[in-house]
Amino acid sequence: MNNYHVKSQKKLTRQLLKILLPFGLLSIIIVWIGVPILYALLWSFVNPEFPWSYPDPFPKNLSLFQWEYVFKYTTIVKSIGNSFLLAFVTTIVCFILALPTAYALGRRKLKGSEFFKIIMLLPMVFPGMAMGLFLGRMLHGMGVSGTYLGVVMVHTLVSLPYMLRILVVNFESMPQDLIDAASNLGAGNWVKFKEVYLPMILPGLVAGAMFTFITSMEEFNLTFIVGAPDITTIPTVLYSYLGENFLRTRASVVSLILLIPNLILLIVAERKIKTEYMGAALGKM
Amino acid sequence: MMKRRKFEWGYLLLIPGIGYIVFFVIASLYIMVAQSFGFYNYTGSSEFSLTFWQNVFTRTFFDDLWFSFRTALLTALVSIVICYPLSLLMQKIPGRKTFLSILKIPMFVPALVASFLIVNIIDYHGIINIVLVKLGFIEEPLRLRNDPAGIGALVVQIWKNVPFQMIIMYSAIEAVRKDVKDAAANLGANRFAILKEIILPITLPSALVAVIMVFIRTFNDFAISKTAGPYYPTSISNLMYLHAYTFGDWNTSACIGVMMMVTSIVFVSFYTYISKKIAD
Repeated sequence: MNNYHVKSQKKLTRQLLKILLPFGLLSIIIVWIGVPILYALLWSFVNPEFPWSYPDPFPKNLSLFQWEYVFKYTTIVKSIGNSFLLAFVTTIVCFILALPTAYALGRRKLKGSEFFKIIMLLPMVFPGMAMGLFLGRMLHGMGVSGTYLGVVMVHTLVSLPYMLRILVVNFESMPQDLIDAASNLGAGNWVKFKEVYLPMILPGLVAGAMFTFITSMEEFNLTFIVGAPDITTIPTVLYSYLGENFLRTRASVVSLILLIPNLILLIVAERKIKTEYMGAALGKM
Repeated sequence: MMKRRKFEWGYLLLIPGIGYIVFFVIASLYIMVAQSFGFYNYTGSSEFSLTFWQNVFTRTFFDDLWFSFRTALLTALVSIVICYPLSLLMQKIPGRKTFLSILKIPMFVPALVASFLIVNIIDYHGIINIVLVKLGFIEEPLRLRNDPAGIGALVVQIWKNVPFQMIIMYSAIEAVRKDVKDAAANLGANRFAILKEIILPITLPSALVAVIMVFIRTFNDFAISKTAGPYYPTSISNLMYLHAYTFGDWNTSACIGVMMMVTSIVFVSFYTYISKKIAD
C-alpha cells in the first residue's frame, strides 16, 4: 500500500516536472536572449532631452531622434550599402571557387580528401587579427589595400570554408544512381550538370550562401584593417561607437541595423535548411 | 592510362577552393614570421634581426597572453558545463525544436553586437545592477563592464558561445543510438549508469570539438575584450594591434602573432592528448 503511494507520488512529480520544465526553460531563454535585445531597443529610442541614467529602470521618454540622427548625419547608409554589396559579391565568388573543389572532394574518391577537408578549416582557426595585420601587409604590397577588391578577397577567405563544407556534404549525399541513370540515357557533361547536379546543388547553395553572407556581413577584424580608411561596413561603424568613444544610443541603433538581417536569415534558415548543413557549417568534424 | 588522367584532373579541381585558402593562409604566416625577424617593413630598411624576439617577452606580453588564455579556457569550460546538462534536458522536452531555434539567436549575433547587448545589461545602470540594488544585495552598483578581473568579457563570451556548443552537443546526444541505450536498460542499467557508461563516452569526442572550437574563437578574439574587457590586461590580439598601429612597431607585433599561434597549437595538442587518454 505504502509502496504504491510512493510510486504514484513519484509519477505525479514527474508529470509536474514535465509541464514545469519547458516553462522554466522558456523563461530562462527569454531572459537570456530577449532582455539584452529589448534593452538595446530601448536605448535606441532614448530621447536625448531626457537622459536615461542610473536609478531609473526604464527611460523616461522615447523618441526617434537617434534613428533620425544616425541616418541623416553619419555614413551609415553608405556602410549598409557596402556591407550588402560585399556580402553579395563574396557569396558569389565563394560559390564559384567552392563548386569545383566541393565536387572533387564530395564525388571523386581522391586520396587524402580527409586531409584537404581539415586544411580548408584553416581560416576559421587562424587568429583574425593576425591574419588582418599580416595579410593586410601583403595586400598593401599588391596595392589593393583600402579597395573593394581587397576587402572582397579577405571576406572570401573567411567565408569560403563554410561554403566548401556545406557543398561537400551536399555532393556526398547525392544519390549515385540518379547520375548513372542520366549517363545511361546519354546525357553529356553539360546536360548532366544542368539537369542533374544543379537542382541537387540548390539546397546546399542556399545554405552555403546564407553562411557566407552572414560571415561577410559581420566580419570585423579584416575589414577594419584591410578596408581602412575608405571602405566602411556596418561592423566598423559600430566599432567606432563602441571602441574609444563610447556612444551608447548611437551604438544601439547601429547594433540593431546589423542584427535585423541576421535574424531574418536565421528564421529563413530554420525553415529551409536541413540540419546536416547546419552541422557541416558549425564544425561537426 | 585513362584512370590515371582522371585522377590528376580531380586534384586540379581543388585549386580554386583549397588553393585559395592555402595560398592566403601560407602568405599570412610567411609574412608574419618574416616580419618578426625584421623583413617586409613598411618604412626603413628591412634586414634580418633578432632584436624583436629579444624584446617581445615583457610583463605586458605575459599579462595579456594569460588574460586571453584564461578567458578562452574559462569560456570553453563554463559553456560546456552549462550546455551539457541543458542538452540532456532538452532531449525530452516538448517543443524542443522551437527552443533550439530560439537558442541559436546569439550565434547569429555578430561579436561586436553581442558585446554591446551584454554590456548594456551588466553596466552601471544595467538591469542586473538595478535589480541587485533594489533587492538589497548590494548598496552600490557593481562595476562589471571593463572590470579589472575581466568578468564582463567572460559573460559576453559565454553568452555567445553556449548556443554554439549547445547545437553541437544536442545533436551529438541525439545521435546516440536508441538500441544501444535500450540494450543497456535491458541489462539492468539505471538512468545514471546509462548516462555515465554510454552517453558520456560516446559524446566525449563532440564535447572535445566543442571545447576546442570555443577556445580558439575566444583566444583569438579582439572585438569583445576590446569593448567589454578590462583596460589592462587586454587581449593578446589587442596587444598585437596596438604594437602595429599605435606604436608602429610591426616587427614586435609579428612576434606576438607567432607566439599566439604557438600557444594555440600547444594548447590544442595538449588538450587533445589528455582527452584521448581519458577516453581510453
